[in-house]
Amino acid sequence: MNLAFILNNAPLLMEGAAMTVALAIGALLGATLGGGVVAFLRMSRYAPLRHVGTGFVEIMRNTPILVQIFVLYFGLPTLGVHMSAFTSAVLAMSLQNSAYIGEIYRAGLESIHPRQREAALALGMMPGLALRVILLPQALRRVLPPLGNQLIIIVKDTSVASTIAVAELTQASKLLLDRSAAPYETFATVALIYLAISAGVAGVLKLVEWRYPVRVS
Amino acid sequence: MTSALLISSALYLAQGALVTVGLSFGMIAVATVAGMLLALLRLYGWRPLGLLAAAYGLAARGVPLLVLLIGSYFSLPYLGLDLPLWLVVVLIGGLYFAAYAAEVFRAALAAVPRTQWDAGRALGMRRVQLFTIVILPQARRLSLPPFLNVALVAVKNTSLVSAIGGWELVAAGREIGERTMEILPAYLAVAAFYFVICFSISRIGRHVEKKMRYV
Repeated sequence: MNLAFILNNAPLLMEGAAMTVALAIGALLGATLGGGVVAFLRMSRYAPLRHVGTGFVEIMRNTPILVQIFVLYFGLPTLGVHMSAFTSAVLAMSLQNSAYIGEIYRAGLESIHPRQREAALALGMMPGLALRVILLPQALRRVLPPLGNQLIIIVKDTSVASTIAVAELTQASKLLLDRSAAPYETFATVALIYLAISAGVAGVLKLVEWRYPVRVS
Repeated sequence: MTSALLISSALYLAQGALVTVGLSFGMIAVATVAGMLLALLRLYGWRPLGLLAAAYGLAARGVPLLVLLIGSYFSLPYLGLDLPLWLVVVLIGGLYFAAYAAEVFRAALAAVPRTQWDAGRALGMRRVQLFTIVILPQARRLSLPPFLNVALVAVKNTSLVSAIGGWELVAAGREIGERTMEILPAYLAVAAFYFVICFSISRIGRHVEKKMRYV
């Protein structure tokens, strides 16, 4: 075991881990917003909007994140659109996860009994108000667990950003590999850091789920 | 782009797609067998082994596949194991997705009502017999949709092979992009190939699911 090597390079690994977290937060923010748009399209009253939503979801879910990142980072510059590696990675992950999270939102909203909405409308609420104060608060609690699982997937997917040389954790480990002959130590450490981040996210989620449990009437 | 170049590029990508499909099959086969073993250990196995299987599942599902692929590809030679890249990918990827498959199988096996076991016992069936002809067929039906989701993720993750120097669909697309300078169309074509593979898997899955419902 070459622990000294890992300790000497701890700052590099920590910077990498910070970048991994930054990528995940960026993608999560993008995807929670984008997911709203996707759910809105998928549940729209107008068929063309629904088709756009379905098409987007199918394309995003049936192609690898690696290819999506490559399209944005290597493909778009040929059209004159230039983005930094970080922006490309965050944007690609936001787009893909918008599809997944949009479906999570939709499932959450559709799981609320239609009578809830009917009752709200019967009480004289406008559809928008009913959505905001009756449907969304109930749906949000049901959405939290799958949303958390998706966040863990996002954390792990940030490793793909290393293929376009974003200086995140996996990229840091590749640098260390080139510098040294300590492959086990390096990868055991990196795997443990990822595990710690995933476990941390899972732990926070358990707390949130405990604070906002699904209430079944 | 001339049409000859277009056709040869498409054929080249199709070759890459074949490698992708082959790697996917290998990974999913390993994942199915190992995942079933893990699920059986957790449900019916000797307790310490079951806990070990659970710990393996938690650990594997908390680490990105790319890290495991890079790690094993660079560390295995140090152990004196000089395996070909495709074999490393199939084994490591297979064992990685086994953790996900195990969750699927475990949930499906546990979802078969307990009364099925009781009924089988009452009919005088032995445990193994009861498991294979009563429980397993019902669990298989329940596990198909979530298992296909795991399989789709596995197919998409074969793209990571190109990041450790392997040749498959993404690598083929990169080569074509570099040769023809049509980078965007090349990667979009790669995406289209993946779409066709993944979309057909989910369509076939839906079809089989519908048929099985009436069995």
